[in-house]
Amino acid sequence: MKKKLLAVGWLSLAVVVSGCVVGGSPGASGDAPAGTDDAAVRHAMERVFPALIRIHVVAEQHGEGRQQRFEAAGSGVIISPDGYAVTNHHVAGNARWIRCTLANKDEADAVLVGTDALADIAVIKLDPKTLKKPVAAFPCAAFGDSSKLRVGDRVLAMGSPLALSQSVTLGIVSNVEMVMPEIWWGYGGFKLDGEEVGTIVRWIAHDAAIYGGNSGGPLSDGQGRIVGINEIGFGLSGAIPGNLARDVARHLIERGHVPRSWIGVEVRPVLRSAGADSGVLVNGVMKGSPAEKGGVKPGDLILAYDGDPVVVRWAEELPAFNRTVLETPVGKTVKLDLLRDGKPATARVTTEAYVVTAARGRAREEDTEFKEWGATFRNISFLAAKELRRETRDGALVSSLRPGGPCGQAKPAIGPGDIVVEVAGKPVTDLAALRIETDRIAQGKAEPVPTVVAFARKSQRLLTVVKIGPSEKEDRSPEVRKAWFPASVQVFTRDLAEAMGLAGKKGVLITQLYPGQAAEKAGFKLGDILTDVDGTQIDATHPEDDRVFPEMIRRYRVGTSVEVSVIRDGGAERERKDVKISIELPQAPVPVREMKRYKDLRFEFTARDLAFLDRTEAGAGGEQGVYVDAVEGGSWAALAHMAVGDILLSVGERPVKDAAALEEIMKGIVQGRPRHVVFFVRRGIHTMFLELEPDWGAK
Amino acid sequence: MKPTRSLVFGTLLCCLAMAGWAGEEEVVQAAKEIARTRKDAIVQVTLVLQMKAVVGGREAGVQEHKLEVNGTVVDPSGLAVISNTQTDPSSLFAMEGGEDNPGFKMETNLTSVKIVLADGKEYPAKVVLRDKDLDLAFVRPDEKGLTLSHIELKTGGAPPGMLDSVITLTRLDRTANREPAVEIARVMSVIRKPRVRYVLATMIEPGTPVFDRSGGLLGLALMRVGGSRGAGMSLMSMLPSVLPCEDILEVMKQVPPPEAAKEGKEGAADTPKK
Repeated sequence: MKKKLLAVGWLSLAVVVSGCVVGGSPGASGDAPAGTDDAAVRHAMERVFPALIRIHVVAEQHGEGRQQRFEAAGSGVIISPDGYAVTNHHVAGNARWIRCTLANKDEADAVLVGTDALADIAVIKLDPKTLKKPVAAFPCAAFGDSSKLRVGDRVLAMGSPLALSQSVTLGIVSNVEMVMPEIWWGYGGFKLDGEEVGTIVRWIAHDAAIYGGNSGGPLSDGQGRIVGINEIGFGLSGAIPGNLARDVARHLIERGHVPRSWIGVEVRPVLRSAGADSGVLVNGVMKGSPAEKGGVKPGDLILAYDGDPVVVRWAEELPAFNRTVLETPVGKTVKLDLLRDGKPATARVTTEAYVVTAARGRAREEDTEFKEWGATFRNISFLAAKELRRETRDGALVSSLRPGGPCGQAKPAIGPGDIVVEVAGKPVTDLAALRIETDRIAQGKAEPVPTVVAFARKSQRLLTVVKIGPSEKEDRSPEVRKAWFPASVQVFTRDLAEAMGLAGKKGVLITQLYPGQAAEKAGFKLGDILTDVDGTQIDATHPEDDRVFPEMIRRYRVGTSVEVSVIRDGGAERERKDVKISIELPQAPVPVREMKRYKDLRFEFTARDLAFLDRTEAGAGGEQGVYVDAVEGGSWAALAHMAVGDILLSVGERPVKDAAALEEIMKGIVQGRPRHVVFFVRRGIHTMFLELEPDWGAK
Repeated sequence: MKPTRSLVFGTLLCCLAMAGWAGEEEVVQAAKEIARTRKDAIVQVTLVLQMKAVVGGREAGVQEHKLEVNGTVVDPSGLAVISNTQTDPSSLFAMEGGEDNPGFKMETNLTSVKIVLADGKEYPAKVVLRDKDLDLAFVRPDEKGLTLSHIELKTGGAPPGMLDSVITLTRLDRTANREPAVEIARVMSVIRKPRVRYVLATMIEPGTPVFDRSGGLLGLALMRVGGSRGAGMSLMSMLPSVLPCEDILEVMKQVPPPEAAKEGKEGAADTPKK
């Protein structure tokens, strides 16, 4: 009974991933009609195009000690009527939020089902309930047999280049077994999240134009079947073979990951100097690996794997061998026929599971931000432990650092590549342990807590003190209030003076009078040229002298009455007047650095109360709001396209009076966790709504 | 026998010399007395500065520096005066593009301030008021109820003229066990506009007191700040000069009282006073 269910299950999946039963594109009825090229292309397109999706993601990456979010767009193709779609891992594999635009322009939210960095394939599932016009079944496309492709065959590349609307380009197959050439090996090949994609992928190279945004979109044959998933472009375009994509998708849908085996050998094509025309050369054997345990040595030539002859003379033949090994069932013992020092030998190797993080499909562990440390950390994977020459996987590996954060400011500093092994005397085996210790030390504390931390750096074990906890407060000590001339001025340059017939005159020109302030009341006018203060010349003739006049004024005591010499109506020689105006110098307004600020740690932006100059120069006038002072790159605020200089007027329905009010509003937002957060801002003379759909699950 | 002209002249010269010598001796005695009675009011202030480059509102790089500078305690609660440029080096070189330039600016954040007495005892403190133009920064210890040796700022003394002797008092750093150091210097120049400042013919440590020849406090040595970016920096503009007590007292009126200083006063009323 169990086997039948499994068989039924497998049959259902086979149907799902290899063809559509319901909801195929209208008019699609099998082979392309004979006739014109145009008709054939149209037929192929009509079978795939309705299933084409544009994918908009908010993904995460970690760098500079922070979790950073960014927007990206790619393409995909729906492969089942219930909404499973295939795309690239590098499009959706790190996504926290996915929205898909269908060929009919409708939009659906999607979730990541599973992802595989090694094949650069991810599967997402669209939610039909989020469509504006719900459908019973999604339009879908079917896989063809990519192994039957030949050079010269016509293909169509479909996708959303540059995140534009879905589009189609036409080309031919240029190469059915494109690999990364040896010249690229020294540059690290093509790695995604620690996986070398060229290990198992031989790309289908074609000349149908693809651009950024086409990634994940289908490559279709002349019959309208998926024969590849477009992935890379370097002159020629490259698609992951459809057969590989189909197999990977099947595993991701069923299990959420791709089960793979590992024996721990690194191989290469046979050396030219060896003169052999069969086998694959063992470059290296990883310590502690199944191959080492089985007695395989560097230099061995593997002639047969589990009874199947092995021939790897060229780079193009490597991916097939690698797939053979990776697709061996985990735990199976295989016999290797070897040639060692010219003599036959054998080895028996029992395969192990390929990666520890099988559920996420990566060789490299995920990064996690620890704000209290000003760093991102990751667990140490099996491979990483080998590369770091560590006996165990214990510890928390520092992957990136915030400049000026607690780790960076410790003495000695902890940096990327270091491994935290002990905190306040407690061993740290992994990130979970690090979180427990961090919370125990820092949770609820108003100030950072100096903590002794032991960390490993190469073969050394070092000690340092890290101040774990909230970031140090910024110094906002007030400044003395000084005398002030309430107007904006520009330097009366030599060129201006000569052009206005006032050659030799120095000083400043009033460009703006602040309404209702002392300068306006004293009788100064727009355009007045100020030449001296209390008989002391205003020695300004170059644009760089813009601080001369303000500094002269600041040297006076507040309330001092000064006499300013003015040339009025200087533009018209006949009307020109020399006047002297007295003004009692008022106190300067509160400087910007002393305005009350609010720093939002979740959305990662800072806003402050509006200062005097914001109201006069930035045009904030009498309106209430707060000035956006800083927006962290990759933050939720950045994703909402908030910008430094915006005046934030309201959040949702609630007007923002000042920084204190904003803090209360944002606290309520965090507690309520609404699906949408809308900011209303003024940007220059424009106002606009900025809408955000935060992922409340992420910190 | 009548005294000869040369004898009279010689006697006069001797008297003058003795008077001069006596005058110099008076300054020396005054200097010794100052060193004995006022040295405890000269403290060291350790600062830890984080200097940040901010590009487009975003932190782009941070460096931390630790300094130990001289300060003068001016009231019994421990309120001390130090040079503001030593707490905010970016202000001296005018690296800001404007007070709120979203393009590029350098920011200095003081992450630690401590007042250190001669015996090594440390008091965590905070900067409670700054005057960039006069190069003043007032530092107040966090601890309430302290009573520290201080020098009272007073006005009304006779201002010195050029080449008059003055007495400087400073404190050496920890490599010299923070011992006091006193020197007799001369006034090299008197700046009169827009405010009076005295330039001495010696290198004086910013934040330290300068006394007149009879031991009365003239003012504090501080950096001269100002001048346009285009004017460039000259050696003369980098020399410390003496800011008279009168100007310091005027600024001191704005020092927040201890309770407000502890809470951190921010966001004062935005309306400029007339």
